Amino acid sequence: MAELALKNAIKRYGATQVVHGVDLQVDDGDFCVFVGPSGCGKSTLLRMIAGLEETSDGRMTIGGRDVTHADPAKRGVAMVFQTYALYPHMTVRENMSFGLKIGGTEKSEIKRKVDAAAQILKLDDYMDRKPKALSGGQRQRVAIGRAIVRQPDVFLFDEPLSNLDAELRVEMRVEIAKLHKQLGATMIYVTHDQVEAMTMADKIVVLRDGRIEQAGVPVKLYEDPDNLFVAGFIGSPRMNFFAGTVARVEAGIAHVTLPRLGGVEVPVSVSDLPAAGQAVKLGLRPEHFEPGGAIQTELAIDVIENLGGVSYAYSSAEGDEHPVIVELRGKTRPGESGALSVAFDPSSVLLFDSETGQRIR
Amino acid sequence: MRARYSLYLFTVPALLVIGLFFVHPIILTFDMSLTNFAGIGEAKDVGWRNYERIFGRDRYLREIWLTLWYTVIVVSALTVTGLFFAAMLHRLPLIRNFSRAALYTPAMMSFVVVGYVWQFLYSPLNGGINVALRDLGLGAWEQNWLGDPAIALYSVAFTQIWMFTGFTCAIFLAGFAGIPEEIGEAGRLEGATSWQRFRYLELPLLGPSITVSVMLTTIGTLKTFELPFILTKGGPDGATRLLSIDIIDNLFGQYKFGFASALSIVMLVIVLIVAFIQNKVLRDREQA
Ligand SMILES: Nc1ncnc2c1ncn2[C@@H]1O[C@H](COP(=O)(O)OP(=O)(O)OP(=O)(O)O)[C@@H](O)[C@H]1O
Ligand SMILES: [Mg+2]
Repeated sequence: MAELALKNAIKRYGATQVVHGVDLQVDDGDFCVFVGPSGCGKSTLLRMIAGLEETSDGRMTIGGRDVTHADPAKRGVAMVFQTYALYPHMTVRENMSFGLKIGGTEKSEIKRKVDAAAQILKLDDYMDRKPKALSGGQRQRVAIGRAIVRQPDVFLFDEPLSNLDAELRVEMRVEIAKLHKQLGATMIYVTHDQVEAMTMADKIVVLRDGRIEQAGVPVKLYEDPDNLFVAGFIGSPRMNFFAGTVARVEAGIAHVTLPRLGGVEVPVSVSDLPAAGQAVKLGLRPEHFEPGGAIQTELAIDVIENLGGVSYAYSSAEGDEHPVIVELRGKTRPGESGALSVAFDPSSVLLFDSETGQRIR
Repeated sequence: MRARYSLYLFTVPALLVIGLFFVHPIILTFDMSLTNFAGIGEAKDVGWRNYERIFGRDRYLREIWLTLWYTVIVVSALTVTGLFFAAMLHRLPLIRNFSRAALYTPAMMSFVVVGYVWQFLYSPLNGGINVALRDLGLGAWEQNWLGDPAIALYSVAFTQIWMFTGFTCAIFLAGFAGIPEEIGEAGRLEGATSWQRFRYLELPLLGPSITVSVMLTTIGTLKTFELPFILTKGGPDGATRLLSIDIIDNLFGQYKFGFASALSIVMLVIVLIVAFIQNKVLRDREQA
């Protein structure tokens, strides 16, 4: 039993506050991923959980124990650092044994645990090497092995794969996911990689400027985001946003006109109806452009990227923050730029308040 | 092949400078050490006579041992105190810069100033240390710090240690700065105490700094003459008569240029041998 709970956790460095009252519940055995733009406080929050940063205010419990001000070693957490932080003067075996050795564990017991971890991580052949004689992926495995042997309640990973090349990253991603299944331990994982977050997480926590924007299962965040930020952050390529105005509200349906799409009127069904004349933003994912959609319009395309299975068409206009992206599938895809007729279904659009950025549901 | 030769060409200026200012004087000194030159008049060749005298008399062998012993004390103490202060300051980032400057101040002072200040502190009747001991009710511990042959060497050594602790501390702090912070954090998470982190993580990683610090302080201490010269002039009863003091004495006291040169050559050889052995041993330890 090792669920983790943060209640109004706050971190201040002197007068500057960088984490503003985070409330978070991670269930036992969950794989929880922190994502967010650089500098949003992911590492800080993780280090607060590890006890490497003092929690300025609030409460933190692990498995029901209050650990807000507990010593890092007494929290039952193990951390895998982005830079691996292996002890360079020790062999792989010594690296993995160190924590148990100073903890006074018996020699035979240490050997058993280290060998077991080495087996899981396929490190048997490297046990007598020093870290500098290992590849990046092997070092990362040693760092994970060092965490495993201590049998912590909670594993903490701070961007563990960001120093690896793309191929190895995919491989290690799968391995960590497998490991999570095998150990059944609670894991908290920091990344800024979309794909890692979406594929590995039981629960994604989206952070911005030291606040949680939204937390939930990946699909929920993808399909049902709470605000513009989460909608724009989750998903790759990103969601398209169109500024619009509510033209009229009729029978529980808001009709929104979109100047960027040639002034088409999109009927959006929401329960919390906006007033006529209100400025709104309409979100539409690239894959939601479908030829058979009810709303038809045209876009001036300047670039088309063909990735094989899909193509992405980009359309930029003056005043756009990001180009409009249209996903194209099927055999007959336009190959070059020019005017492209696109269509989409009104049921797949999301509506946001332009002012607050909050979702209008 | 031409390229190869031209590479060596670039070392010529450096070789010239070394030859002119380093090798040449040593050769001159060695030449002089085979004479009985007295500063003026004729330098008569006496062969190895000066060296025979050095190795044939207890007095000089004792001085060599004393010099080595003094060096062992000073270097060990400097290494330990430097490591101690560096480890402390490494853990106290707020006062680190101020304390480093404060610790380093003695090393920046002139030997003459340090010598006279400590001569006062050590002086037997109204010296600072004895007065302080008396005031603290520890009168029984009063000593004739520089006058007692049994402790004079240690008093001088203490002053040298006081003076150069900041120097070794600065070297070790630079070493600490080179250890990634995550290493210590990983240790903390694994439950290592402050002492265990120092002993098992930081100390082994400070290997290169220890090599540099021990080499520099050893060479410096073997050659040193300033503090013993100012504090005790080699006395009492030869208790602090290091090889370097005898060289000065022969040179400027008795104008035995030839003999002083022979002593200098002996000293140079000792420094070279010690430095060579140390370098080998310490480097090997770093590799392990
Ligand atoms: N010691 C410190 N003093 C003051 N501010 C700090 C300190 N350490 C971090 N910060 C601030 O806290 C904020 C969060 O930093 P943090 O390292 O947690 O970001 P992050 O989300 O991990 O970013 P990245 O994805 O780039 O790793 C940043 O704005 C940073 O400037
Ligand atoms: Mg970070």
